[in-house]
Amino acid sequence: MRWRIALAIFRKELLETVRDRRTLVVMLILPVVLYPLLLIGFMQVASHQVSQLHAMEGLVAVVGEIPEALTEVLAADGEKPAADQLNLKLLQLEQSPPAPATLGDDVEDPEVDALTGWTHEVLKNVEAHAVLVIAGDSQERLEREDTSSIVILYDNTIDESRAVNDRLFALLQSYRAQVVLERLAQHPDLSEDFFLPLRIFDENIAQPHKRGGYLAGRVLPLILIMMVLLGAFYPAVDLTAGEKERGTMQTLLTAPAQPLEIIFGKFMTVFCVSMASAMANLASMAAAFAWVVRGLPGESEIAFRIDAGTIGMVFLQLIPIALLFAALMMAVAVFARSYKEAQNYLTPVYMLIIIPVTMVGLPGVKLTGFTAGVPVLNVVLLMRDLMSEPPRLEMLTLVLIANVGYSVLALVVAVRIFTTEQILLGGHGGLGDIFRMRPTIDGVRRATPALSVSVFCIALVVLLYLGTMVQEANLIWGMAVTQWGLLLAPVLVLVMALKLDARETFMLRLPSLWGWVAAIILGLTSWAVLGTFASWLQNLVLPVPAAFEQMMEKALGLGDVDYPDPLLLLVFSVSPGICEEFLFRGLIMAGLRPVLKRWSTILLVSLMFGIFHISIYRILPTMIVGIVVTLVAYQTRSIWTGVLLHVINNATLLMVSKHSMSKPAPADVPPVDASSFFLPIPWQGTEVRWPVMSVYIVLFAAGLIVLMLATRDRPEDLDTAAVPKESP
Amino acid sequence: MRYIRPMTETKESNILLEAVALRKEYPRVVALDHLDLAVRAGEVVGLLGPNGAGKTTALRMFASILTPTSGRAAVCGFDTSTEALKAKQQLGFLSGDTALYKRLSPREALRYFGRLHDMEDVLIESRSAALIERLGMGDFADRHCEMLSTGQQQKANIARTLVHDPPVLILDEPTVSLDIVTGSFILETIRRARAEGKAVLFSTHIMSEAEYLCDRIVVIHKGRVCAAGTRDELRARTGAVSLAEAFLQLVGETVDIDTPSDNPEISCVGE
Repeated sequence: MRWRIALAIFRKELLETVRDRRTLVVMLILPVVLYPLLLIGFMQVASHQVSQLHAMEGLVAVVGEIPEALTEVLAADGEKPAADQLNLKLLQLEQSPPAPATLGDDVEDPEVDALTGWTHEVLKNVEAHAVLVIAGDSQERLEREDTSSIVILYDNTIDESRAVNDRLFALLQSYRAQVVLERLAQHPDLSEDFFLPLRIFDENIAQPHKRGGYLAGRVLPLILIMMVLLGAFYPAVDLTAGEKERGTMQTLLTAPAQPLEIIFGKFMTVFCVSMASAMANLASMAAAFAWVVRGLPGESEIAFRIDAGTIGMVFLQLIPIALLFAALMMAVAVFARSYKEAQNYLTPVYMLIIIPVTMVGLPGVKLTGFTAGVPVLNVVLLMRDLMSEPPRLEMLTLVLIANVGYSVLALVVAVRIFTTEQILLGGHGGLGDIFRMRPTIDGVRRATPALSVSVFCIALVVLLYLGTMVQEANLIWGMAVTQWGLLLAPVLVLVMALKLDARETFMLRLPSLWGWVAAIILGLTSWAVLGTFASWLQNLVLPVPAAFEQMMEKALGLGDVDYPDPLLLLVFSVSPGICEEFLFRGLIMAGLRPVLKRWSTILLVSLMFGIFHISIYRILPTMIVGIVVTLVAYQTRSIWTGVLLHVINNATLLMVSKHSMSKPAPADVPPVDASSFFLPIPWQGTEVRWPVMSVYIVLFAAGLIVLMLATRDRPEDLDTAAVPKESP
Repeated sequence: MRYIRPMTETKESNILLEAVALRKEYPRVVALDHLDLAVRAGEVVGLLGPNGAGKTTALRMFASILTPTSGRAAVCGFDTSTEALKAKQQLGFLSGDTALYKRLSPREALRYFGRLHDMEDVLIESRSAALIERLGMGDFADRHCEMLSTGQQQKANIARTLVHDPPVLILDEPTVSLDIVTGSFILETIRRARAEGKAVLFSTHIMSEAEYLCDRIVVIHKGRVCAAGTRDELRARTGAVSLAEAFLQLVGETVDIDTPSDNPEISCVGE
């Protein structure tokens, strides 16, 4: 690597990029215009909505007779509403149903229920924004110092309705206070204080800049990340696929520059443009806040500081992110032969980056030791915090280190891709081949990666819609229909229709004796070892809520209905063991095996297997079990070991959870119960006892060793069997 | 199966470009098989063949863009795969579809490639000025390449090929899609390079070019060499009057060997 050559490439690429108007527009002009417009627009819309709400007249349809005193309170409000208060107007609608004679102390009153239908109509036709229901005996009850109920019917999802309810509620409260005072006047022996045991004040102590920062912190980091991404996007495509498309890549390759020098020159260009874009965005954002926002109405609500220190820290954090984006986008774009192709390839990358970014909006997602390790999300969270809180040094460094790590990783991958001749020339090989449906290699019809991915996606969608539908109708039959009818049958039909080699696709060979042994040992121990490990890891990453655990138990037939054991085993262990294996370790793995290395295949298949179990809380545990199942099937080149392991694992897990659950331990008995052979099941969250656990771990390890020893020479056979043979 | 003969001693025989049993195969196709070739200083060798014959593959291996599956290629004695950088430094590569950077001027492009060849800036400037003068590029040397005509672009490309004064030139169908004026200009450049003692290897499927320029001709078809020698040798061997006829016969023969049924088009012309 000669730096002056890399520098020469960098200077030339930068010059060319700067001369490209598209880049300049995205890099500089867009941010300069975007932020002021965005802020002004945002604030105008917000203030417009607020003022519109205030100018509005809240229509209240009254059902029943309003007590006199209350009429006065409401009427007085109508005469002189404060500037920021809603003006209410009471209506007696023509088709108004009769008021209930009396109302109990329960909101679920059948009389009120009967009115909701009518209320829906009224709200829908905007005849009123809320309905006030007053019982026929209200006046009388009030007079004899009894309690009367008043009901407001409104729709929380309609802004106006919500506002009217708030106002009405406040007025009714003040009316109630007024009645209390009147009653007290009749009883000189009781003091006012008797009815006021507590004075409650709430005051929002967030400083204005923090309040504003909270709002801005939710929107601005997202925009900033998108702009850095966009800043990297054009040069990354232009310098790789664009260069190929224009025919200058070959010229460059004939020059005496090493691939590494070429990559570094280009990479530095993409990085610099992306960084420049980030700077332009930051500067424009700061300027917009400093000058444009000042003096606009509602300033005190949203104003906050983006001071020089914050800008500096955000800038520092954006450096590794820009490095990461540059490396990632170049690594993908270089596979493409044209601009258009590159855009197609980069769309999933874009999605991949946006998904963690959108997670910022989820409740409770905070910057912790774990989220600090998630690329992109960590920076968005950090920036959100920086805009409202004093910086936490440990988080700053943690995020920085994590992202530097990811960017180096991405860069290493990019370098490796670049040094492959076919990819740079855009001739043979590359991503295009991976996504192409080409089921025939050397005359034998085999599954392709494209087929695997398509099958997985279709199966996932089928499961999501049809599967849940039939399972809701009937759990046991629904499961059976899903497994055999919706998963296995279509897979078999597809393999037949495409005339794929079934023996090769499904790995229908019998394993050796030791392969069987390994599958059995691993099957019997993995629920304890992997289950515990998975639940520990899951708790670390994303703790499972209790409600989900209950739902899971129900979904596994362990709920209220007591199904007989054989039926449970058949439906939840044998049939998924067979059907899911033919799908995952069969067809899906068959398509991936030829193009990926051993561990990439295993991890990808397992990840798909995890995702297939739909819930975010099940991805990790299922994936971990999936890794072992996939490993066993892969190593033994047989689907049958996978089936066996899957069946045994599910069966033990099911039986253990059922029988340990059916006899709950009394609260006063200490949790360590030596007589209990069964360990607590993973999703019960109880700790596992180490003496028993260590036996399981040893057995599990023994199973793995048996597997690896028994299949030492096999994986290579598997690879070469699938890879096209050498030409004669 | 890997069979490598020792390379011939370059300095003695003055061989600047050499291929020994050069072979390139892709997963499903053999693009070039067993090419032996030598180009000496002051010699122009033509690589003749129909489209898809393997010409470009061969030239790309000389230019270190592709790695041979087996066999060796060398430029000025430097192996193109193990000493790629040194080999590339001795080489000027031009192809008919080579594009220039649209948003750079020819002068900037020359500066860029000069730097890639690790030349001093002063030297780059003087070489560029000389080339711009010699190729008559003065009018457009500072305009962006996207504004130039095809002919002007190809002139800029030639200048780019020559900026580091390489002893070896490899030209991949350099006149394709050019008008007759620019085409002949390129042919003159090749003659001039020969006169300067450079070794030139160029591929073409235009017979007249080969006839006009080449000291020796190698005919390849479907990745195999079917004949090699001077024009007269080829003509004598096939009994043909013109090189074009000789070429067609040679290529036709190979077609006959590969496909038992006569190729009507070829045999028709052959008669």
